[in-house]
Amino acid sequence: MNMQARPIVKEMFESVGWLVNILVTSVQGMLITGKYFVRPNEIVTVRYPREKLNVPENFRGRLLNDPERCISCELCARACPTKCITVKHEMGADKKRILTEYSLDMTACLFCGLCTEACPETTKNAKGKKCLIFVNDYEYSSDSKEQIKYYFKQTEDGLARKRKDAEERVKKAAEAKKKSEEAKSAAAAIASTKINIAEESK
Amino acid sequence: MSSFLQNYFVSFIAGLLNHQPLAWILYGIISGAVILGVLSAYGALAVYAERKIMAFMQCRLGPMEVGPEIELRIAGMKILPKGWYGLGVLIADGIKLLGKEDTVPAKADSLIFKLAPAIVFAATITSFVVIPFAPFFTPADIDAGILVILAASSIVAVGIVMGGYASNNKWSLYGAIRSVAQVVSYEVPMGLALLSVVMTTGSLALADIADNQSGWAWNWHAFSNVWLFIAAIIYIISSLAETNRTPFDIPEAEAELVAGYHTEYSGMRFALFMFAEYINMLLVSLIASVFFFGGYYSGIQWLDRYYFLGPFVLGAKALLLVIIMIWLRWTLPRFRVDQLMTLCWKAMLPLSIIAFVGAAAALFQTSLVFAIFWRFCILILLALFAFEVAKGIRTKSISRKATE
Repeated sequence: MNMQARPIVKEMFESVGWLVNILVTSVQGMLITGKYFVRPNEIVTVRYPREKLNVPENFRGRLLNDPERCISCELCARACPTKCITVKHEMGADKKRILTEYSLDMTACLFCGLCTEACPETTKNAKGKKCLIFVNDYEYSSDSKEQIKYYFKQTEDGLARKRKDAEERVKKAAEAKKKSEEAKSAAAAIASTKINIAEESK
Repeated sequence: MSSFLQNYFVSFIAGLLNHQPLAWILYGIISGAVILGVLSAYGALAVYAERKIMAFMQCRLGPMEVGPEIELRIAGMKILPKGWYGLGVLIADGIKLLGKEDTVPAKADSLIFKLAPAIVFAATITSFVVIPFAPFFTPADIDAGILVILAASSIVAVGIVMGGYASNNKWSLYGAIRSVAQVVSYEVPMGLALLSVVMTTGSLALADIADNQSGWAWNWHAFSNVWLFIAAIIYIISSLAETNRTPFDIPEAEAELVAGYHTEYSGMRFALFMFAEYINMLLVSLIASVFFFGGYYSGIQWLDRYYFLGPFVLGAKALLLVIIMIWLRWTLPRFRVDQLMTLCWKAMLPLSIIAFVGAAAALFQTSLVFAIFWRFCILILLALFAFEVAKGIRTKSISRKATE
């Protein structure tokens, strides 16, 4: 501040001018706030339980695995930086894995999406969706930690069917092997007879 | 004359009871109960109104969840569409404040600490007895009513100092110091603004001042004379400072002082401070209406003889001013301390002296030409003001377009 003594009248006029300026600018400000007051359409509050915001298509809400399609390759479990995925599986009759339980610990999940990128199982679905996906559901908070650990279990029927399928596949493979062996032996027999004939002709 | 109804009531009761002092006591109890009841309802609704107005200005909804779903229809017309308006917060807030623990800091001066909110509240409410609510009805018709009001509003400052000092807390003390500095400073221009009205009327009684403004709206003091118009503006600004409202809320500046002088208060004691603040808002608005905006007269001469309209007209004017105060609060940031003092001593005090001298000068010339001239000056002032406001808005929008 200027500490020099200034003419008091000049200072007074300046201050009154300031007061008038304050009044003018307050009224201008009040017109702005008044404008928002009378416009009920511009309210941005979302009354959450009553109304909900639309989330985007690729929203990472929570993970969902389809145990029916899962091939237990464990690529997702290896990709996960927090190791929140554990895959339990059994060996089918044809030495292929059958998923029994796929557990997801959402308390540890950091929604990086590496698991869904790693998932190779896209072939069977017509829409090209993977078997491990993020869904839009974000309302899964609960009272205990146990409630947000998700277990995607293979159903009894599914397990039985998959075992059966595996056995059938083994049978088919065995039959196919038998057939091919027979064919091979036949071909070998033909070849050996041809060789014999050739030798004899010499 | 102005206390006609009061005298009638008292003499009626005295006739029934055959005891004059008892009738006066009964009258005091009844009028006090009525005033307190109305003020309680007002206090709750003012808090609700403040929250709602603030919310709408900030593009929010405000209290919405507590309370029933309401659809207000009057004669089949929809006043409020069906929905939740959160009116239950009025009750919920009250229960919450009643149920809160009443804490007193260990090193606080307990007696003064407990006394302070009561003094603030009582001093605020005292002023209501001299307000003329209708022609022929003032709860206590005192010849020097304005002195009662000024004295009571000074006692509020004493209560605030007591609260701030007794809390044994530096924020509270600073808040109290600031509050007193502010109230004492702004009482000077406020007193001068009120004094110019008193001088014009020639009476200190509020009922006489209100009666002086009967008839059309240009008889109201604020619109009768350019000097009193300036005095009205000065009074409204200093009444904002008097009630510690934004932009003059440095006593409870949240950013610096937590909550100022009521930092340490909780529960019902805090509620009394809050209640006193809102009642004080109504009080200064009532005084502004009585002194400058026609009091209980509606400004339409044909309605003047319907005396029962008086309280409603006065209440409507006062509530309008309260809403403007709320509107102002959610528009402006607060002043710095030095700005506050500069505004008071360098701008408002000289202006109020000029207005006072001008009002005195205007008393000498009461001819029609001068009456029209002074009112014409108000129009010119308002036109200049509106021009300045419009100019600012226009330049702002132009500059915004240029930046876009």
